[in-house]
Amino acid sequence: MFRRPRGIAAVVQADAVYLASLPAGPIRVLTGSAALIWEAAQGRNLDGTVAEVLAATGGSPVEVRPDVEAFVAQLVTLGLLESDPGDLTG
Amino acid sequence: MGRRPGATIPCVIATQLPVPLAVRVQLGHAAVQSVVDAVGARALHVKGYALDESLRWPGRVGTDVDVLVHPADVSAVLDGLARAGWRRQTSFETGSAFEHAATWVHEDFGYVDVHRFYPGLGDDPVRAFDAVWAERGSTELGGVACPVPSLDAQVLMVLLHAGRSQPSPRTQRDIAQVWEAADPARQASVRRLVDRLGAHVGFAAAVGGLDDYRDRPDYDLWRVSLRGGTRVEEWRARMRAARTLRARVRLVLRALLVNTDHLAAVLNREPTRAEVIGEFFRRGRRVLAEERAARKTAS
Repeated sequence: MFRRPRGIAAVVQADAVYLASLPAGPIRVLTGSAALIWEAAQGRNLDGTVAEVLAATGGSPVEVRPDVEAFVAQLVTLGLLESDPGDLTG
Repeated sequence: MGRRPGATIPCVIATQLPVPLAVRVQLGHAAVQSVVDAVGARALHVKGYALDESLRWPGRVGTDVDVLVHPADVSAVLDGLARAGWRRQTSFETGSAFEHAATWVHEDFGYVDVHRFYPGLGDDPVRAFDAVWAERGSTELGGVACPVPSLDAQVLMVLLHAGRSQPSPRTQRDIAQVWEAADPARQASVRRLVDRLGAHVGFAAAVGGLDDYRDRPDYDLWRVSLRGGTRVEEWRARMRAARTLRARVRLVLRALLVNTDHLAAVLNREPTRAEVIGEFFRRGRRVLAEERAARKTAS
């Protein structure tokens, strides 16, 4: 299950997600697909995240899954998402 | 979901895009709370986005973070803020006539006013904080739980802030929203809190009847803050409100000094020694001119 880490503050707006590392910053801005995937991942594993993204955008799992997986991994590496073991493998 | 059809991947994480002020301030509340938690302090988020929605009128926006910190925890919080990249903009002594708040600034989160007490909330800052803290609630700002005063205390604090501000459309709307629109039960409940805390002077400054408290040491300070006055009148009011001889001596000594925080803000840099000396004499001339103008208006 992915979730927002305790050390990250978030403000979700219609056009962007703003994430601040606590306590000193910086503030990172996710727009478009980046914001969509970050929101879709909250409380879901990789399969659930892909399904949520597909529900919002259409397209086929084969096209979308590798990009979602890569971006989620990047968010986890940057500390903007937290995951349970095995989340990144679905 | 479903509000971004046609998502295009790859995705971008930006740190250079502009961040709206409203977002910056909400994240600022979260950042300050994380510092407060890290140092084990007690702080209440007041005003702005921490205000209960029922007390905000449409279009009322917060421009900075305001926190009321337990007096015993103030230095730990300020040290924590400094470690997290905040810089001091004004000190308690130079921030306002009440000397209640210091302003700090962060390049990402903007401004925070750290209150070591809340003007009007009672004569004893520790007792006042403990009373409000005991009935606190919590609100999420930036996804972080931030302690806030009870609804009654929020109403009172908005009124106290209006009571020490010169009347403006904003303060009038604040008073209308939190007090005039409140039902009789809420008003009675707030009045009981005023009695419990001994907050009568500041409360009267906001809702009327300030002159009933002429005999109180802090009356002149509220009168000058609400209705305006010269610099000399303000210093006289500060002297009258000072509770101890030591506080009065400190005020006299400080009256001789230039407010270097204010001068730095005007210059947008640290002033040189020559500029501080120049300001010392300019300030003296301004004070005399203000007094002459005030006497002319009065006669």
